[in-house]
Amino acid sequence: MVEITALTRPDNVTLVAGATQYWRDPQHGQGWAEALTRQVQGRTLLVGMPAPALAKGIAEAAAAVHVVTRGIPDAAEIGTLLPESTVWCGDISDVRADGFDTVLMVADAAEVLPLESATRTWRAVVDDVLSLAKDDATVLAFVENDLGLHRLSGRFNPRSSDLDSDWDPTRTWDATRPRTVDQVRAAFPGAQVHTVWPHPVEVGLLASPDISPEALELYAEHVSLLPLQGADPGWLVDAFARAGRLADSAPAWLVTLRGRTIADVELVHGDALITMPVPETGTRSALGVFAELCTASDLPQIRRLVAAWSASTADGGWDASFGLCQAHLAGEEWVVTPFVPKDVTDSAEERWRALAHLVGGMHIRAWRSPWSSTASAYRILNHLGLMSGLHTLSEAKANRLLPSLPDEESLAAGTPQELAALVTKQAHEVHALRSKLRWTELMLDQERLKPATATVALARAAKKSASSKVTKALRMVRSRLG
Amino acid sequence: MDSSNYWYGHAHALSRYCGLDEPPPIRGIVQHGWTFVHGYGAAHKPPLGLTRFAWSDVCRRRGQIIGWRDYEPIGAPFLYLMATEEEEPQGREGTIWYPFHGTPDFESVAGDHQGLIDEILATETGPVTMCLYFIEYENPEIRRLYEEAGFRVITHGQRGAKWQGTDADFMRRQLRELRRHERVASNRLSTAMFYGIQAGCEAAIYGDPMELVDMKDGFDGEQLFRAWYPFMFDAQVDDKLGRELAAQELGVAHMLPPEELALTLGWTNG
Repeated sequence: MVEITALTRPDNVTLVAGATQYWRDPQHGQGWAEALTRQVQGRTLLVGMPAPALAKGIAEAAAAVHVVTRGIPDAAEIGTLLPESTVWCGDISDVRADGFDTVLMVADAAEVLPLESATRTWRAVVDDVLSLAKDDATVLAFVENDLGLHRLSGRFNPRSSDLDSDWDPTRTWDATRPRTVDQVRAAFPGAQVHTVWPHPVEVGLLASPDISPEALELYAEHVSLLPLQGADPGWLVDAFARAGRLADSAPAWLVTLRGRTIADVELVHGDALITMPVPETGTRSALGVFAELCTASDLPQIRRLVAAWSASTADGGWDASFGLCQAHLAGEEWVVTPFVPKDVTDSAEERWRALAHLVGGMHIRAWRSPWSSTASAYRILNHLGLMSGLHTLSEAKANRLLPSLPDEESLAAGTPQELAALVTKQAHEVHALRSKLRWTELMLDQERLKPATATVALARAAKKSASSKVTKALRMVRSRLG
Repeated sequence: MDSSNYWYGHAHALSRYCGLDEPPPIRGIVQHGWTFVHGYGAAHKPPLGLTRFAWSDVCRRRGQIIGWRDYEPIGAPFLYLMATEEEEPQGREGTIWYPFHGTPDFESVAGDHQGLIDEILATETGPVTMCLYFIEYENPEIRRLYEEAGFRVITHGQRGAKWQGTDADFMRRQLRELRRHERVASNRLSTAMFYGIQAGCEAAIYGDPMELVDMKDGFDGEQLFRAWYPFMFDAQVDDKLGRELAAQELGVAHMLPPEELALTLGWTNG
C-alpha cells in the first residue's frame, strides 16, 4: 500500500494529461541494454520505464533522448538519472514532441496508457506512439503475449487477481491486441518479429519464430528453466512445441521496423546479445530429456544419457550446458551433440559446471527425482560425476559450483539442500500429526459409543428385570387367586 | 453511520431519491467531495470492512493504485439531488464565484483577497455572487472585503462535524443558487466547479489560487490539475470539454436507479 506524499520531480520532467500519481511500472531492458542501444540513431523516444542501464546507454547513443512514462515516481527517477533528457509523464497522445528518428517502445502498450486517461485500445495506443516517429524511423516495439507462457505458468490469473500492481486499462479483453505471430505481423506490416523468452521483463532470449520448432523449443526450454525461481514452465514449453504452437506462446514478441537486423537466435549474456547457432532439427535438448527421465526416476536411462553427454563434451570447445546440447535415441543409446562453441580450457571443469547447474536447478525447483530427499545436492552431483566418468569432487568445491536460490535473503542461512530436507522433515511431521489426530478421533468415537452400549445393556437388564418382576407378580397374583 | 455521510446533506439527498424522508444508516462511507487522490480527505481513512462509495470510476482506480480496495462507485449525491429537484423555469444571470476554501479540520487559505476581487471585477461582465465557505463567511474581515466590492455575498450553510451542526439543506441551497446563474467560477478546480457545470453553468477558473496553509503532503493537486486538465484553466472553459470532465469526475455513468441505490447503501434487505 502506498503512503500519500507530496510528489516531487526534477525540472526536466513535464507532466501532461494522464500523469499518474504513485504508480510505478516494471523496469524494462535490463538484460539487453546493449542490444537495444545498437538500434539507436538521432533523436530517440523511449516509451515505457527503462532499466537504468538501458536509459543511460540510450542517452549516450542518441543525439537527444525523450522518455515517456505514465507514473510520476518513474518520471522523477528517469529525470534525475538523465538530467539532459526530456521526460514526459502522462498520456503518449499528449506528448508535445514528434519527428523522432528512433522510437523504442520497451513496454507493451498496456503499460503506456495511464489510468487518468480514458481507456483506449492497444492498437490506438500503439498508433499514438508510432505517430511520433518519422516515416523512415527505426521502431522497436515490445508486445506482451496475453497467452504467453509467463501467464499460463504464473501464480496469479491476471484477469482476476487483485494485487496492487494489477490495474491495467487495456488488459486481456482488448480485442485489438495481437495474440499470435501472424497477428503481430499483421499489426506491424514489414516488421521483423522475434519471440522473447522467458519473461516479458526478464528477457533472456530472442528467437525468430521461423527457425525449426525443435530449435525454438530447445532454446526456449533452456532459458525457461534457467531462472531458478518461480514457476517451472518446462512441461508447457514441451507441450506447446509438440502442438506446433510454441512461437505463439512466447511471453512476448519484439517487433523491429527498419532497425539493425537481429539474428535468428540471440541469447542475452550480461548486457549483450550473443548470436547463437541454430541447431539441427529432429532432436531435443538434453535438459528436457534429463528432466523427463528424472521425474520418471529412470536412473538407468539417466546413466546412459549422462555418459553420452560427458563423452560428447569431453574434447572441450563446447558449452556443456544440458540445455545447449541436443539429444536423441539411436537404438537404445543416447546420442548427445553439443552445438554452441565455447572457449573451454578444461573440459572437466566445464562439465562439472554444467552438472552442478543441473543439480542445483533440480533441487531448487524440487523436481521429483530418483534420489531420496535425504540425498544432498553434493551427493547427487558426485553421483552424476561418477556416471560421467568425472568421479567425485570435494564438498567445498561442490558448494562453490552449485547455484544458490537467487534473491531470497531469508533463505541465505541454509543451503537449498538443507531447506529441502527441512521441508521434507516437516511434511513427515505433519503427516504424523494428522495420523495422531485421526487416531484420537477414533478413540473419542469409541469412548462415545461405550456409554451408549452400557445404556442399552442397562435398559435391557432393566427390561429383563422388570419383565421378571412382572412375571413374579403375576405368578403371585395367580397363586393368591387360586 | 460515519458522520461525513451527512455532510452537506448527502445522506438526505440519497434517501429522498430512494423515497425515504430520513436517511437510514449507510453501510459504507460516501465520498464527500471531489478529490484527485483516493476519494477521501487527508485524514479520512475509511475503516476496513465498510464499502467506499466513491463518486466515479476514476476515483476507484486512483484508490486501486495505492492499494485501497472495496470501492463501489455510485455517482455523486449531487446528481441524485438534481434528479429529485426539478429546475424551476427562471432566467440565469451573472456569475456565482467560489473562492477556494479551507476546512474546519486542517487547512486554511492564505492569499490576497483584494487582488482576487480586482481580477474578478476585470473579468466578469454581469453581477457576481460570491459564495464563501462557512469558514471564510464567518470571518467578518474577509466577508466585508467582498461585500464592499459590490458582490452579493452568501454561504450555503454549515458542513457540520461529528453528527453536529450539519445543514441538511446545504447542497439543495447550492443547487438552487447554481441554477440561477449563468456562470460558475473559481480560482481552483474544485467540487463546486463540477457541480456548477453539471447544473448547466458555463465555467471559468482564473485568479490567484492562493496558498493552502497546513495542507497535508500529497493533497495539493494544483500543479497536477493544470497538467491533467489545462483546458479548465480559462476565463471561458470549453463547454464540451468541461461537461465531459464533470460527468467523469461526478460519476454520471455510475448513477443507480432508486431500488439499486437503496440495496447498495444497505437500506433494503438483500
